[in-house]
Amino acid sequence: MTRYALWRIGAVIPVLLGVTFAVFFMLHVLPLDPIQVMITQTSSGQAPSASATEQTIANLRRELGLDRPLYVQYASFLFKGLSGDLGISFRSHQPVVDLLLAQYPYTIRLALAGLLCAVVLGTTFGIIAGLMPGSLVDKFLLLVATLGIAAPSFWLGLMLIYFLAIVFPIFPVLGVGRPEAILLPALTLGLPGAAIIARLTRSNLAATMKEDFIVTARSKGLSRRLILLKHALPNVLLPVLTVIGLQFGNLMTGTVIVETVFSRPGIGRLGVDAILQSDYPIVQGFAVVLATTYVFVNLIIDLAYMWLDPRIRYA
Amino acid sequence: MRMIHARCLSAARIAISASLLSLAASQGAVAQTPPLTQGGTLNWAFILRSQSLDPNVWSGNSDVAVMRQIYDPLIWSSAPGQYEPGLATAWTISPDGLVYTFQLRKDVTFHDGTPFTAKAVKATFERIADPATKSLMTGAIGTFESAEVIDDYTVSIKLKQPWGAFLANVSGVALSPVSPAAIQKFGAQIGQNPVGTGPFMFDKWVGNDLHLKRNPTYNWAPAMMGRTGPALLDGIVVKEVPEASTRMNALRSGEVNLTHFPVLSQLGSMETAGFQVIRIDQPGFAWSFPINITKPPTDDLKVRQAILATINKDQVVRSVMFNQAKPAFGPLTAPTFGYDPAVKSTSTYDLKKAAALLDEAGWKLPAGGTIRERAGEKLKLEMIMFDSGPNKAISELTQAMLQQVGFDVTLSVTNYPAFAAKVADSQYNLAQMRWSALDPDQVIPTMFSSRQITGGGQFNRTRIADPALDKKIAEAGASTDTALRKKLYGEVQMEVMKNAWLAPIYDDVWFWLAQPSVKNIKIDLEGRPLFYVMSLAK
Repeated sequence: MTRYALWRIGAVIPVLLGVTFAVFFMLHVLPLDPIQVMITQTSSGQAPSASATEQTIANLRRELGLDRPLYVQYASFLFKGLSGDLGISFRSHQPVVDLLLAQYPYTIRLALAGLLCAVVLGTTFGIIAGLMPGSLVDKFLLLVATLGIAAPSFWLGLMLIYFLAIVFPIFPVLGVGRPEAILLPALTLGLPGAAIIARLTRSNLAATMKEDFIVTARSKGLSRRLILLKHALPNVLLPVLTVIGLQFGNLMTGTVIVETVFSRPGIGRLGVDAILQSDYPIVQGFAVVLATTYVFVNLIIDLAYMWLDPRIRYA
Repeated sequence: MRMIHARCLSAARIAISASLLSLAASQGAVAQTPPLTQGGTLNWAFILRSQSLDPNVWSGNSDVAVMRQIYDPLIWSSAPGQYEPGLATAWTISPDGLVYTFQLRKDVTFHDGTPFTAKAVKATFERIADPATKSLMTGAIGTFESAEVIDDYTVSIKLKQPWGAFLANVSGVALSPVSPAAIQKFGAQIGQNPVGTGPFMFDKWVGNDLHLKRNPTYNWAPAMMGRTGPALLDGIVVKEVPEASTRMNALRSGEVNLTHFPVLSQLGSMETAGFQVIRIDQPGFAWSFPINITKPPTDDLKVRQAILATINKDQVVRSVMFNQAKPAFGPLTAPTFGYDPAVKSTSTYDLKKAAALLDEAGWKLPAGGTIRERAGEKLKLEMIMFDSGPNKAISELTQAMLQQVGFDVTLSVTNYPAFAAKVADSQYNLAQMRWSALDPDQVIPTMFSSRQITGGGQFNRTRIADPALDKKIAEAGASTDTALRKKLYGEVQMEVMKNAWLAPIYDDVWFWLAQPSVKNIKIDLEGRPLFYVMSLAK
């Protein structure tokens, strides 16, 4: 198991190299000029004017190192990255590492809270529906789950704000500050995942309850409760773990929208703003952080899978 | 005196307008009854997190309004083209218009306790001019040559060429002095640790919330504020709320006291609910479609005139802006210094005229067809737009209008960087422009000078290169004679419209929404709030 874990951790390196390479060249292949974007975006809609001269533009290009050949820029990005230096933001002149570190905890907190919502709601409703397949309750929950998958989180967030913060002022509108403020953003983020987990749990449970070993357990006179907890659920929930791993990627990307709707800080917002402003160092740093998180979460899921499922462990 | 054309839609309309006007007009008289409450922290929902609060280097849209509270300019603009003392008590201009000498206040200290002297002013100009600073605000120092400290409280700025808009720029945020000691201490990180002389000072960042606190030693407010001493509010929390409907909801729920960039369709209901709605007509460049005169078919004057006659601005204002803005008639908005009302006569909505113009230009409707043709070629227009605020809705509506008279319009709505790339390629017939500025010199040269076709920010989106026009723009820019500048800028505006170089749509307007508890709301000429005079009712 240790060897497998080490091999998986080692595999992170080529993944990250690939990600940085892809992001770097994608940014540079696009016909965008960060300096042009910087000076025109700065100037529009404000005074006094920043009608930057050609001299200013040339100076900026040189100062930001954008006049160097691409491979030099990429090599410099990689070597500095190895020592934890992801460069300086074109706009705010702050180190990208500092910017990402300041925002990352907010995103992780939100993603974990969203995951918790997804798992708790998804498994609970999935078990309820799975125990009575074909019933009215089952059909109703299936409908809700389908809507949950279909509803865009942008809309869902605004609706939750409207009903639970304005019509019934239980929660704050802004998703940061008070401890309970994270609930609505987490719910918005977690509901689509909850719907997927609920459907999976339901169908797995409904199928498992018909398996021979359950029939055997029943014929032995075990209580319904014991059958569910001891025999059915461990089999039902294992595939859910895989879905959680896959969902975590969705959750991380979903934070971009949820952070915007609920005005929460986070790397999603930082990254998207940077993309819209062609602030290359932040975009690169954002991609590295996102990819690292995704890879590590899936590594943890894989290891957990091995630990939970003896068939994999001894294979 | 036209301080701010603030039209308040709520019941507080008269009270606020009156207080704005009295503040502007009384020039020092305190016109407040009843007395304003001291204390309290105002929560301000802002569209974007401030990226850097270093005015000399950067003035991103999100940051200028915040920097207004932290930094003071040498002089304040109380009305377009009019200035009053700020950190400078008096100023003189040499007869050749090249040397501006400022007498400075002697009682001013920066937030870090260091005294404000002539050295700080000199350092400000030199810092912007220094390439190592990577300043994007070099346009604000214009033709700056050198700065000289005459004594501790007298500084003179020498220009290479006379520059009519120099004082307008000095009154802006970009040339506000930053503490030289703090620049020394924080280096490039000064933008995250701003130290100015303003009524509020930087306190801390909490997540994306910027906390400002009252400057207790502040005693150098300009006369236009109508009061003296430190600010009334204990502090301001600038909260980043990027989504418009969330800003509205946060105001409704009481989590924020003041916000901007509202959902236009909700203004009526907010007003009914008792919120204060304040409307600031923006000086500067109107929201317009610059028309590329180098790309067919808009290289033909008749086609451009047909475009202008086809666009029904009233309908745009009605259906996209919910009647909250006014139609524009020329490149400059009505409250801008030098705006020439004569432009109103140049644009009329007339579909028959548009059709006739296109017929004259040889673009005929084929029998049974809806797209005009000339010698087998279809009448095609490329419209480029970036998705922000009402841009998408306006361009879609305009696209539909143009199709009515037989244009085949391809609309490409993208994010800003992609739009900027398309502008650089010049592959468009209609683009977009809008810019807030106090002085026409901050917009006219940028939009119509031939230097801006391939150079600078390539803001000359009409791609007009006319030596006579360049000369006139240069003459207006160099002059310090107000009447002559008005005349020349008036001529430029008429020339732009006569040649149909752009289709103006609406005069930009900014909205501020506040809870009823926010008292004495005052907004500067460029639409930035002045929290120094505001208070919160308990």
